[in-house]
Amino acid sequence: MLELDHVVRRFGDRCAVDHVSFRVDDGRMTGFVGGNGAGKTTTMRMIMGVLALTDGEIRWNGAPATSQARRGFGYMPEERGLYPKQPVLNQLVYLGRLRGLSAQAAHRSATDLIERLALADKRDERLEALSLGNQQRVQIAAALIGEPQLLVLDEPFSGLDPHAVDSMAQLLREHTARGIPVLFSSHQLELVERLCDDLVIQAAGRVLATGTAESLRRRGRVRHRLVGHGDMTWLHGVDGVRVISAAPGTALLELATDDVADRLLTQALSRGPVREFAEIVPSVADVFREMTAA
Amino acid sequence: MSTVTTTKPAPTPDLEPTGPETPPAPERREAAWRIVTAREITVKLRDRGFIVSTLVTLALIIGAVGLQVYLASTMGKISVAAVGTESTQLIKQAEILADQAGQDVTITLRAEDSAAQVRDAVRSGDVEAGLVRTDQGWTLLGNTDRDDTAATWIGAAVQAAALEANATAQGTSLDALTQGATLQHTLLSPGDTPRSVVRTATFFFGFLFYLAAILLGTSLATSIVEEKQNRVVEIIASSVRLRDLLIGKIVGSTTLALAQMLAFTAAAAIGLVAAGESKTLSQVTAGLGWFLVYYVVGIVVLACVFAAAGAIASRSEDIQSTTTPVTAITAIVFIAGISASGAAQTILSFVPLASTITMPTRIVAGDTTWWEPAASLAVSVAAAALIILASERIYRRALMQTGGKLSFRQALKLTD
Repeated sequence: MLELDHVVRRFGDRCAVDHVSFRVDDGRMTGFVGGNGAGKTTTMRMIMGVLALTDGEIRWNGAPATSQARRGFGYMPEERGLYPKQPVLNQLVYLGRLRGLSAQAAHRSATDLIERLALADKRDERLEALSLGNQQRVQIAAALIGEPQLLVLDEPFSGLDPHAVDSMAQLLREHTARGIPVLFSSHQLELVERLCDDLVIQAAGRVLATGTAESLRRRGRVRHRLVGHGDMTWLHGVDGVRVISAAPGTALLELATDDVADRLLTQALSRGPVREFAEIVPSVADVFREMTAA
Repeated sequence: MSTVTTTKPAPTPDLEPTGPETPPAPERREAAWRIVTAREITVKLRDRGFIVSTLVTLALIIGAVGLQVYLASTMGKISVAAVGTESTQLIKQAEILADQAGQDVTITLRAEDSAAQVRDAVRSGDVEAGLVRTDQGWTLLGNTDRDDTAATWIGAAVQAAALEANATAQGTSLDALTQGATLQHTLLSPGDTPRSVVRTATFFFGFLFYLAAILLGTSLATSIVEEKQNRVVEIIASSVRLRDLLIGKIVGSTTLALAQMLAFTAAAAIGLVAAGESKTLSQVTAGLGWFLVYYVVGIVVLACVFAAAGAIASRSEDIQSTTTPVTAITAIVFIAGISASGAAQTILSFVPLASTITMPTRIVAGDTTWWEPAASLAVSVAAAALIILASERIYRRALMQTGGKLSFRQALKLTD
């Protein structure tokens, strides 16, 4: 389990990350969302030890994260890059060895990954000779080499086609299934909503919300749609109900409390047939927009 | 009710982290810098540019030495045209005199029938010189150039023959005439290395040092900027200490540069022996021990400085401007090292980089007390360590700066 405890990072006078705290639990896929300049990349760099913390603490399994522990973290940086002039297999073995694997173990791990990622026929080619899609796969392999204990991926889905997104998602699922915590950042909110167990929403260096996708959606304004018959203006007179929009036969409402719903439904039924009375839960994207609009 | 409680020692807290992670892996224990060094060397050895430039330099050295051998084989070899037995005797005598003086001179005699034929042979360029008898004695004929070898040794032979003839005419002998005319040359410290040898060695190692700076400098700085340029640096920085990355690269590049120097020096040495200049070689190698020690230490310090120059660059395009000051310093060290003397030399022999040439010069010349070399080496090693630490800081701080090269001052101002 990875924990960030009031992590602060300043660049001169600018505070890029301002007392950020959240957790990435074992076996959970945690999505890290926020606009440009939210401080996601800076936060991830601090997790990986690439940038120093101005204040706060990062803990790995309850103890402050050491450089030794970080050797076991798989990382895909925002700025992609490997050795363009070196063959695929060679550089994966090298990176594996820097992560502490023996020469044999690194070779084994690299060969496995190359096969998994359908790069077997490219293993001796220089990276720069590969298509962009294949280069991206090698980059993924660089993050996954040496059976990482934690994955920190900065925008892993950017630039991938839909098939590649699916196989990437599948690959990450395999890791969480083994109990490995995965933290990834993304701008693609629908994707995050679909894939993630947990979410961290960050804006301007601060965490706005954390929790499961479901709990975050519930944080947004849950609305109700009532589809009935005829004139709906009577709804304006019901206690605890705010009418967002109303047209003959249909209305969009915001309820003050949950028990207003029962009262409202009884009243509606007494006035005529009710075709639909349903909760409209906002998407994560809606919640995100609402939160970051302020 | 009485209860007897025995206090058990609290169980030792389990220090092993629990959870699905961190399996104790005995394999995870290899010095990171060695992995970096190994990659550095293998990548370089497969690099066509490196191989080609090394081979071209080797070819140039071998070519230069070959030219030397050719020139040496023609130097001191002359043919002289002459008439009669007397001149034949003189020419043989000239060769003997040259040999006694330690000079490698071969004079080939071309016997002609008349003085006119001798003139023709000289004019046609078939022989370097011609020897003819005149009323006043002997005349050495040349076509367009005076031949120094012929003039010196045939001249000496003519002089000796004339002296001998004149002595006999005066009723005495040559030995009697030349008695007391010999000059003995006695060295007071024959065991010490001659100053001329010290000078040769100083120049030789000074030049080698400068050559190494050119070979090593740009290649090391480029190798250090490589990860920053292709942005693999974030992955590396999250796996190993940056110090290990820098040390690995310094060791790798330095090893290769020293191997190159060794190959070049070996080629030159073989050439010197082949050219019959083994005497020059033995003069240079006389003080080799100390020069080698300082050379290796000096190269390491130099490599650290170049590493710092690489650390402040963001792209290989910046390398040229960040390494220029370092190359300039090396040139100054080279010139100051071979020209300094007296107090300046003593001071320079304690300054890192400058000591590379000045201290061994002083040691070989016998000017130092025992502690001076030790102190000077310690200063150099300490400087190397400090520069590596400073380079690591600069490198770490400039890591995320991709906007262009920094100044040393800017780099040190940045935070980690």
